[in-house]
Amino acid sequence: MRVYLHSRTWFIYFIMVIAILMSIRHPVLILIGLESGLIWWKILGRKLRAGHVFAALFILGALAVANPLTSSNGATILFYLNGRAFTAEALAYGLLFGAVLVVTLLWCVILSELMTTDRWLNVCGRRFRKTGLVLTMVFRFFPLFTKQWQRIREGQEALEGGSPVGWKETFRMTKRELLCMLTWSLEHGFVTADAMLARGYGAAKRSFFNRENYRSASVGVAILLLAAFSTVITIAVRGGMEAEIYPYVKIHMDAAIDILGFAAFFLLCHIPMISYKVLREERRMRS
Amino acid sequence: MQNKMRRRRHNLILWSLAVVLLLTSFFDAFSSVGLNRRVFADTTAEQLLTKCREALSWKMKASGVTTEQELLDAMAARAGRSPEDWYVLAMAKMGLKLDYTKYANALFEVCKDPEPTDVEQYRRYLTARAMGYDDIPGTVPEKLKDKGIMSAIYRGYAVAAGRASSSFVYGETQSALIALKLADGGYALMGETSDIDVTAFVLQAYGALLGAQGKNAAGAELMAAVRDGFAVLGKRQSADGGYASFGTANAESGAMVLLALAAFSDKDIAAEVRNSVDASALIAATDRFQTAKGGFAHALTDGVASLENDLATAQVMCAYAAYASYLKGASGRLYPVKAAAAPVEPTTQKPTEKPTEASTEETTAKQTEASTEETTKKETGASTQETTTKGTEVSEEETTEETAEMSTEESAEGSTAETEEETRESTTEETTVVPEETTTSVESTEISSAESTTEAITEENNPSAPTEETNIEETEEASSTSTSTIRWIMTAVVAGLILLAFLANLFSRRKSKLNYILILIFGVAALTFIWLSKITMPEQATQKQQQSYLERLPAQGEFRIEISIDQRVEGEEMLLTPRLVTVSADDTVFEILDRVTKAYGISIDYTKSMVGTVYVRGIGGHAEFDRGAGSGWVFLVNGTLATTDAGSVKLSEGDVLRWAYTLDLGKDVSP
Repeated sequence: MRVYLHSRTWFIYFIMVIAILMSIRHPVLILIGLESGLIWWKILGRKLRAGHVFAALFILGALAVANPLTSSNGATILFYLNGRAFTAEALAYGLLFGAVLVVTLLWCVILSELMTTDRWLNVCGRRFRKTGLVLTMVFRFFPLFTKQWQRIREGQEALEGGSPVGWKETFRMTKRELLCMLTWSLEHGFVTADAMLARGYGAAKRSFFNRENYRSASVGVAILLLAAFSTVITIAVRGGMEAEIYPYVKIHMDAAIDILGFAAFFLLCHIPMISYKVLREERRMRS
Repeated sequence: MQNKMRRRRHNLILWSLAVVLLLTSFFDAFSSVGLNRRVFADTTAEQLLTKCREALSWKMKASGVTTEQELLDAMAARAGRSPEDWYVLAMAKMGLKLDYTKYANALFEVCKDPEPTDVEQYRRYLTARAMGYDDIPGTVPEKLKDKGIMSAIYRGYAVAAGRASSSFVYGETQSALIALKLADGGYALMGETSDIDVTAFVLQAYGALLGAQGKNAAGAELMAAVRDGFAVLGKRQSADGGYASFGTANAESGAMVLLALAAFSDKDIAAEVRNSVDASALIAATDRFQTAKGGFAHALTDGVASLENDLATAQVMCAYAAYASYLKGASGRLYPVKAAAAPVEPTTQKPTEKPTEASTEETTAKQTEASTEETTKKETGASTQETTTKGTEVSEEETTEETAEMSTEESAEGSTAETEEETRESTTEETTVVPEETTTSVESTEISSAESTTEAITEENNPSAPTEETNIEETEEASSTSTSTIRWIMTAVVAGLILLAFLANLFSRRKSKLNYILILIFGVAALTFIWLSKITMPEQATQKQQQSYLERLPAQGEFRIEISIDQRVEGEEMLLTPRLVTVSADDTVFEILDRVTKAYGISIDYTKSMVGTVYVRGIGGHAEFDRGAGSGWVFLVNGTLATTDAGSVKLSEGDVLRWAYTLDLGKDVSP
């Protein structure tokens, strides 16, 4: 089955998943987010390296320990550290917060992988075409800058005869590289502006070309996603799927309404995966 | 055409997205709807207290005095008798700050009456307890001498107030009362028709017993009796909300029913049991008995209250004060209740001679600094001096070998292995470590007997309260094992984190030397922090000591203030019910809060600035912004909302400090 999803469907998908992960802090939701995020990771053909796992665990642990040091909220006192209570609840909150951060970071990686610049242009569309242009230019400039910087550094090193030694040397070198970058980017800006003018930018009202159109699958998926999202949000607003941390840790997850919410979030995360075949093809074509 | 359809579709998606996002942003607003029932209860409580004050001013006028203190001293002539004791109970419940010494001394004289009836003696004991004294000189019977339901009821109050030598007494007392239940669920002095006053009296006793033992220990039988009792009261409530006794509508019956309602906290009984009596209609009906002068009449003459009655006024005052206290979230019981976990021993018994009960743990522990909660808690009047000192005159040598007594409940759940382990360690040191389970019941040892006998005239009765320095030392020693465990656990956690960061850097694509250096610096800093920090454990023994230190007698430059912490959650006990603590003149409000919360095991969350200002973010896990944007902690000194920070306010003698959780920037916190 070949399913193409519209860029806007992708966009709202990521916005909704990340919004839920960040606003409703519940361990089960975070686990679902982690699981679907890892599946995406696999679909996108990325390898899960040991460094990633260690970094994630480090973030989790560091936040879990840091939170009770700064906040002694919570009713269960484990011990007093310099006269301040170190509470179990603050520890639990730190753990939960760390988990949210890790999973959200994971999803941001997936977002950056899937939301390519052409998709961003399509998301902004006819109405916000200037925003779209600026966005795509910014997205292009970051890698461009680092690449250019590397090139300048190599050139400088070749001129100087090796990489700098000592901090004074490094500082001087970096200063020169920065100056090079500045002049280069000014020059590059002129070149780009001239090229755009030569192609007729600003001569008349800008047209908008878009190869994508709404297919029934794309709209259907979008509606399903919105339905799932509203279910999750409605249940959360009504007090379901609640993970109370203060004053006592109390995680609600066994009522029927909670399970419905988890199921809705599970669907929300997994529905767009039906297009994974397409993605594989896309990847093959790009490489 | 196709194009239009397409546009409409994508508009639909955009709009629905916008709506859903708006919904999420209102998430917080939605979740904080419907909170303010508590505020409503506070205004009602205020009205009830106003009625109490009106009634009191009538009584003052009738007795020809101008202040409450004068009234109290005037009533001392008839101390220990019926309406006067009720007045004193009401005044104590209203929270008036009076000097009860004269009344108490007169009461203690009356107590020496050689042939008192059980009810009289119990009532005198309860009045003394309500005034803040621990005991009365005469004997308070545990076994009933008189037959009759009233003595059984009063025994219930007294047992709950701290007159139980063992946990068996509770069960015995309550089953004696339950046995008197009539077929319809009520109680009566005689005959088979249940009487409103007596039923309400019995329910109050049940409430007190429930409060002393807790729901689990009280058992289902008591709960069933409570339910039946309230059903009877609900059935007999007249159309106007009031109550009639022997065919006449009167103020006292209504007052008794109100007291019965106040005797149960919201946690004790289900809402439907409480709602079988319409409390607001009952208050409205009782209000009708108030005369133009402020007092209350026994009955209405031609539908108007005209003739004030002493007993009616006193009882209605008691009921209103108690119900107001219940509405404010504090204990609504008229008589004080002592928790059953640590039953109070009669003071005439020497601690060393205590019989060991089933499966006791023998600890050869030399206690140098320990004091009973009971003896340090309250000042006792001059006339009780002799009886109390006799009991507590124990020299240090006598107590070197002491048998720690554990109540049967405790030994059932106390882990013997743990206890043994700790005792083994403790034998090596001079001041020994006493396991948590045992310390709660270990009785006092060091009592400066010379001091208490020579200064019998003064109020000095406390064993010398431990100073703060010894407190800290003991804490360090007692919890050194667990403290070092905590240190090692934290070290292990930090080591794990360092390892993780190291591995993450090792496996990352771009390895940087700077990262390793940073990890090393942070790791060393964290470990230094852990090993230089002062770690203390929240142990019961330490808390007990801190509590008794807080309740010490004021020395030079020290005085007592009243402090309470009210998180104002419907159906929850206050974090800290109002209590007197001794503070020094230099202490700021924050320092007092810090010390008190440590002593009672309540956590606080605060930020302290460089210049010394303190902002309290949370107490006992209830943090700012938990219940809406305007919520957080404020404090009131003598009912006035403070406008400066807690780090800069100092108190003076007799001040009432109240920490309260506000929902609306302090506007909803009543004084």
